[in-house]
Amino acid sequence: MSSHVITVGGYLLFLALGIGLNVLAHRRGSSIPTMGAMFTRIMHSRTGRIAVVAWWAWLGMHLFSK
Amino acid sequence: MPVSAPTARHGAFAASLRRFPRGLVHPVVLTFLVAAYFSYVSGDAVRAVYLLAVGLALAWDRARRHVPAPAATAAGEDTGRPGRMAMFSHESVARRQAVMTRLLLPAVVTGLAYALAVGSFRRYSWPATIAVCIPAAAGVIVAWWVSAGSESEPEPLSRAGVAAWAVVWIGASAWELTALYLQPNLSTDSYAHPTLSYLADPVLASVPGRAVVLFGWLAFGWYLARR
Repeated sequence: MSSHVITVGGYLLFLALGIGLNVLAHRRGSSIPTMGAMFTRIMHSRTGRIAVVAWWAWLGMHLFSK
Repeated sequence: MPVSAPTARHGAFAASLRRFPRGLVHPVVLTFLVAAYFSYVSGDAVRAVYLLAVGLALAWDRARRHVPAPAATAAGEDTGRPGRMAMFSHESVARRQAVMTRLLLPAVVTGLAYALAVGSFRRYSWPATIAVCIPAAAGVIVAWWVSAGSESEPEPLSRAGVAAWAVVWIGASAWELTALYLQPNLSTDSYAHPTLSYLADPVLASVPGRAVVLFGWLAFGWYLARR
């Protein structure tokens, strides 16, 4: 197996874990917070909110800006 | 003896300045400073300056939050207004979400028009840079502005659940950083160890691909703004 396949496989694994966790979180009575609840909690503080939005802004600039 | 407002403001500024080094010691601030360093060493000076500015602004904000407001200091009493450090009230979040729900349709139409127009620009060109920096800067400014609401306690989350999410996010970030460091150097892409942005290159090479990613980026920003 090439290192390219392993690297891409790693990304897909984490993506699957994230989706799986979110599905589990949406089950009735689950103690796992949904991804939305995690963002809400992080963005409840001023520092957290600005940091998350600044990361979002960076992502757009990283993909498209000089 | 009462203290005049300008003197109180100068005193608060000096106190913030003294507290500034302590404001730097925070995981989020340090993450931005480290990211700025790595952006700089990988030859990305513009985004390094951006990350550094956000990190320093957060540190300054943290320093200011621990200093009493000048008006209150001058009068020697509580003004009764929420401080800049205050968190969100449930009312302010509900109000913001109601406004955003009403604006959803025009926002979708505007977002689609934006994505199609900006998607037609070449990546890393000046038009694309300016077009992306405007909503990015607006998002950060709005986040700064709306986070000065009234205080409320966050809802508690289970520690095990938070730990599970942390494993996913930190693991994915570590995987991406490992791929980045296994490249020949920080500014040269590698097929053997692709980063996420390298994997996105074929999608972003076409106008429809760029339009879809831009619309997704805006939609994610909208999703965050509703939190």
